[in-house]
Amino acid sequence: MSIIPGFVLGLAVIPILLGLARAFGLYTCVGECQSQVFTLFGKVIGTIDQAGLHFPISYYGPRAMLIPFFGKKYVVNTALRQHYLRSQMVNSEEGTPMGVGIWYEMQVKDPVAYLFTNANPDGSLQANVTSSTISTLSNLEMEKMLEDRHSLSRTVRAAVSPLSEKWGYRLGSVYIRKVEFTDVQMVENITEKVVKRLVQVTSAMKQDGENRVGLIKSETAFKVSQKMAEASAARPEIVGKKLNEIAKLDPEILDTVQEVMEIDNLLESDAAIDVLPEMGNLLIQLGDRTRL
Amino acid sequence: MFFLAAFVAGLIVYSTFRVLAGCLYTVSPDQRAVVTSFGAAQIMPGTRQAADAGNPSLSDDEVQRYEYPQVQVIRPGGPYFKMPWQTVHKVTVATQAVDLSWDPSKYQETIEAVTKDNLTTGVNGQIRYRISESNLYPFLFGVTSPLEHVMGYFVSVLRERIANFVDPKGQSLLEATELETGDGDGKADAASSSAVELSEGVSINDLRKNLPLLNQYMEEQCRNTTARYGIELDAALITEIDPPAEVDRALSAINSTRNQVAADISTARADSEQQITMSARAVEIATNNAQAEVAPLQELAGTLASIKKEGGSACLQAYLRNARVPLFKRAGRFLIKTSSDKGANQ
Repeated sequence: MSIIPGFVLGLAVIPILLGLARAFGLYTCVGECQSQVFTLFGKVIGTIDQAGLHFPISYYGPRAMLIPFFGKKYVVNTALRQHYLRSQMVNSEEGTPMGVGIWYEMQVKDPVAYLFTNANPDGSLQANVTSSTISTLSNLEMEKMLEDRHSLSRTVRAAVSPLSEKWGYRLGSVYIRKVEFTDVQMVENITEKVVKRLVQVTSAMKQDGENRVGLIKSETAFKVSQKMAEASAARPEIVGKKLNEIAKLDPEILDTVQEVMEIDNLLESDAAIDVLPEMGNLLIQLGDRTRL
Repeated sequence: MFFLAAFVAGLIVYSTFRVLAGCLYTVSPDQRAVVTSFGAAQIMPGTRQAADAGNPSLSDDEVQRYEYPQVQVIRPGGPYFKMPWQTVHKVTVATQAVDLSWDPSKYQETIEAVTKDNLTTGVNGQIRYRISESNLYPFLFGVTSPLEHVMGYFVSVLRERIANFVDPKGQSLLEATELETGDGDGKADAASSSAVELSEGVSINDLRKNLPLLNQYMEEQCRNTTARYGIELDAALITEIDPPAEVDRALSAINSTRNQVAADISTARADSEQQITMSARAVEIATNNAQAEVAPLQELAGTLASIKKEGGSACLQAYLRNARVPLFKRAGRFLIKTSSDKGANQ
């Protein structure tokens, strides 16, 4: 009959022993990025922040056995955390109301200070970041606020870090994540301004296009006019040049050529021809009267 | 005696069950694993110092803030054995995607960003990432929610970039190459530059035109997320930049006008080329006609010159008289002078 209790005890003894050991604080397991703070009789007796298996008794002596009864073990996560503060209201130098979003990282660096210096370190850090952001960004030019965010972020970080360190925090990166216009009317006005600008660009582009077309047409008219003048001048130039050449060689030849060509052209035409001797004006008049 | 034997049997059963049930594990091909013993990871010796030695993507200040050791990584395979006091942390290293608008504390379909000309626009897209096998410590232990950190950092950098963005090529809405007259005319250049000046400050257009550049910048800026959070950014794909509807319509009007202007200029150029070609042909035609007119003159002059050379002026006169003979065939009447008239004239 003692087999069953013996077997059950055999199954349970290890978990029971481990549970008792933990309950009496004989050993503790510290995870990566974790710190454990031990207090006894209202005093901090030590912190273990190295990951792994530890025996508090080896650190604090026999008084470690009293921790479960008269003290406490605090487990603090020291991993990097982040927080986003949305829509913090600031006013630019021009008086424009702006919403600013701040994203920041923080990490517990001093677990004891984190636990006991400030009852609400997270809330206090948020308030500090908010306050520092507003004081850094207020009365800045809107353009600087929008475009120079990283340097402003560094300024906020430098302002908040000393305060947060008092409470065991180490502030990580701080970024101004968002800068927005909170006034709907203002957003609409800016949109309208951009639309007007775009319309202006459209008009300018259209006008520029018309100017370019006009320029091309006028240049074309100029070139075409030059060419047409060149075409008109081609005949006088070529014919005149040739007649000059002939005249230079022999004027009589030129006269003869002209006369021969006149005769040829006269023959080709169907005109009525009267052949008169030179100095025959009276006879011409006579001939005309006879026709009538 | 029986009690002791049963006790030992129970102890053995418990131990066997714990060992067999929880101490064998495998790692699938897309996974990597890290084992912790009593909560402590297996740190690679000397890696903390190596990390301190310098990381080109981090500033000195950041190196101190993001100082993480390297851990022993279990690669795919198995079955592996672990002791009961050890814990296996598995992570998938396959590439994953997350919407740019993802925010665990707020639902949103797009993220708002203010451009350089103060216009509030909606931005959307996707970032692809994978957990860095070479820096698993921050992902598993060092950072509480690594993806939130990556998104926080990414969105901050993106919004600042959008607020500062100007077209690096000179932000011309009028493409110089499209509208060049081709002859490098100074007047045309002046007209173009005036339009370019007007287009400055319309950064929404610049952003849309330079999306690849923006994506590239974001990828470069986010390279240090591997060292910071153990997440390696594979690609940043900003796919949408949505201004208000009226701005979109104005942008469409610009594009339509640009196309219309380009078409008008093309037509004008074609007309111009045609007219210039035709006028050049007219010159050729006039020249040929004149040459045709000159050819008989030249030939006749040559012939008459050879006649004169052989027979002198008398022969030339004779030829001329002969040329007039056909006129008499065509003449309606003749007046012939008598010899007395001839004498009186002389």
